[in-house]
Amino acid sequence: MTDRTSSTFRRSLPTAILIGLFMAGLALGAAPAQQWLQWGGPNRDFTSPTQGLAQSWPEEGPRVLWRRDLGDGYAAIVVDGDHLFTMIRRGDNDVVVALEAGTGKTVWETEYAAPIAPNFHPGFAPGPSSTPAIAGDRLFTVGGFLQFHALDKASGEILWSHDLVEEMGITPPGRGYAASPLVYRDLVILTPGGEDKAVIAFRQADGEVAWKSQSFPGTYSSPVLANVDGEEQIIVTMGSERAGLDPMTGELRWRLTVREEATTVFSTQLWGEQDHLLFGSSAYADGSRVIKVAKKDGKFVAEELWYSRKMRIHHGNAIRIGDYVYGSSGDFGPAFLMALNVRTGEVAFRQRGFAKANFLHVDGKLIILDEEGDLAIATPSPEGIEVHARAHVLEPTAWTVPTLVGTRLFVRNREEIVALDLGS
Amino acid sequence: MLAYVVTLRSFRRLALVALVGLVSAGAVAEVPPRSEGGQTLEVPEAHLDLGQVYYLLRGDTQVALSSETRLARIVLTSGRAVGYVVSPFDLEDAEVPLLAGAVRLPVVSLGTGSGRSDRNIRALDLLGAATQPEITFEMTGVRDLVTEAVEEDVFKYRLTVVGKLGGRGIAKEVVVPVEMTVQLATWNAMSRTMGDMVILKGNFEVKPGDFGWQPEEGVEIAETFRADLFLVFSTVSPDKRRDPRIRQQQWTKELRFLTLLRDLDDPEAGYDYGRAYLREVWDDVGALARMASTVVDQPDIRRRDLGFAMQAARRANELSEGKEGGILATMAQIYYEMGDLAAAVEWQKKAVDQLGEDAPDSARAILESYQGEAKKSADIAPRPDP
Repeated sequence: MTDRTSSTFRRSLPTAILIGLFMAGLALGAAPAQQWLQWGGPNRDFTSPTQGLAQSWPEEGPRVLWRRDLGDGYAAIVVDGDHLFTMIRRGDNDVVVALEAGTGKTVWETEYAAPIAPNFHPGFAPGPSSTPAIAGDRLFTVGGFLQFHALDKASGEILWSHDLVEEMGITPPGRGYAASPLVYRDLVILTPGGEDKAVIAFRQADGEVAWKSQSFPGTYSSPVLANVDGEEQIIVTMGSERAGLDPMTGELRWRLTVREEATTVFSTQLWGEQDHLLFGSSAYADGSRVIKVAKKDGKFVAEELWYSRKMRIHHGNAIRIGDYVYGSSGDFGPAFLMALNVRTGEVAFRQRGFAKANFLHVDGKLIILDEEGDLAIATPSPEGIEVHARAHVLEPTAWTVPTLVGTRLFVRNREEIVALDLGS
Repeated sequence: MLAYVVTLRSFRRLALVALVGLVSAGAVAEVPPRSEGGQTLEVPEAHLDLGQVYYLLRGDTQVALSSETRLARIVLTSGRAVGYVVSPFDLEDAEVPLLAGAVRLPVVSLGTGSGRSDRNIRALDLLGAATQPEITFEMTGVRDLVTEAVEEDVFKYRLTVVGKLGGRGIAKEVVVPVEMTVQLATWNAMSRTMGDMVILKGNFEVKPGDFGWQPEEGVEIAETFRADLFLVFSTVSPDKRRDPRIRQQQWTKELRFLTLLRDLDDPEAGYDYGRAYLREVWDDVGALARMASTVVDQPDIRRRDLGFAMQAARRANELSEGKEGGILATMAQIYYEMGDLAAAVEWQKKAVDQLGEDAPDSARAILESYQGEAKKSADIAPRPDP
């Protein structure tokens, strides 16, 4: 924090005090100065810049700022200033909702018909699972059955839309489309899968298709933006394909086909900008792997550094801290908190105590929310996770990654949404 | 007791001779009780930390007890055993693939498939249900381990499991040679069940006389029974609800109800439990519908309280305003079981009409079946007042 009490800015004492208080307020994140505009947060890696979270909670848990009914679905929450946005399911419709971040009051709702696709497997419920993305004054949403909309963020008015099933003949994945849109410059990019249109970029302004690229199967895993040796790439995981594409043109920059069993991936990959290691994990018949992408003789080359079945992340996320990746391993059986050495795949530790969980990385700590609705704050290390505080904040099934803005944590399940104060 | 391994160099390529006791942290005094839902066992903390737990899955024939005399052959089978085994987390680095395990088998679940034979066997009290309603097994060690194959997704072993078999209030050591397969999840394997699997196949001999059974004069039962085992375990607990629309606590209670009625054949305790649960879920359509369906639809429930089922189904129907085809079909089935064919036809027709185009062929086939029986029946009972 910059010290602004130098002689250049010297004011009368009351003003100095006010300035000091204002700066303290910013440091504590008391006002929603930060944003959470997309899936995974500012850098799409579930890391928040917030500092100063409490290391202990009262017996009843962190302070509840507000709690209200929401609706079915798994979409995470995005926040821009005073408003938050997410999606729910209501009957045979998808609904985009905007709430006041400070009170939970509804600002607007936009509802549209989203009939269930014939190939849908009802095991998980029809979502929506994809998380909206905010760019400027626009909100981009896509439901489980590939209705894609651009909405005015202030009013909820639909500015343009695409039905990718009707228009492009794309079949959504069996559990419903779940990958979250990625905003890049004036584009918004989806990964619906299909012949010559596996990855599609649309212009934010008018919804025109900027480019379509690749023939990959559909995916549940959201794409990430990576800087690979100075070049920006979208990295996708689609079926057994792992690939890097030029986000402006869709041109393929590299591609690696991994084992055949690695076809059902929900979890978002993690890109290590310093070491060019791409970590990904899936459950069912696959496991975790690291792919190294390097530039050789002007071309990008990808190779699998290691593969291991010891960590299998289902639909949760993973966090990389230094040389270790932390995640909740297990699909339908017991779940273990685990860490792997990202360079070798060696198991650092395996720890019971939480059901299948999602994480945020904040100021060297992990915020953990498991599917049973238990929330915790913990310090991770290669030796294990030290839990400082734990509370039951939601009823099961809580599969949605939390959102942190300042010290306000927003969590949801398939029925309600809660705002919690995690500040000191 | 510490684990130790003796390796005989001259037999290194053929066999690893190992006598493994449970590590002191993992020693368990007796077979753990059933879990809250009743479809597995309460795995002790020591075993949860020991390695990966695999839960015994219900199967068509997990256990077959057979004996043969000059004039008769008896084969008792059951698919209702519950239990678990523990295997190391990192199997490829482990010296022994099986670290712990325990099983409970309800005596009432063992049957020949013939009601008359089963009644006769129960009358003999051959298996001592009155003394000890569940046969138990607790693994105490492993020896004679041979690793037969280690592939990408499959590990195969031959080994001898040593354990205590409990029945009729008596525990005896048994030695069971088994083939053990660890099948990691593949898309192919998941057609059987989710998760990684352990399959144990083996057999051993047991003498009812060793467990205090005395034959009556004139009764010809062999001294020795052969027990054949085909046990499939998975990392997915049978108690864990898979449908995220159902709360785990509800699922556990509904499983408990099923365990009491079907597996332990204790209808008094089962319906008492069920009535208390109905009061809890009196406004929950899904839970009420599932309870009704369990009573009327689950195979192998000896005493079906149709009044109980109708109470739950009627309330579910009321809450859903008659718009749920599945609930309407359940009511039709209850009426059918009650013998009221006219009502069965009426309600099944409502179900088919409600489902409309989405009505499965089976629903229409059931309606036709009820209609056919109603026509044939000359004596249609008046509709009972549920």
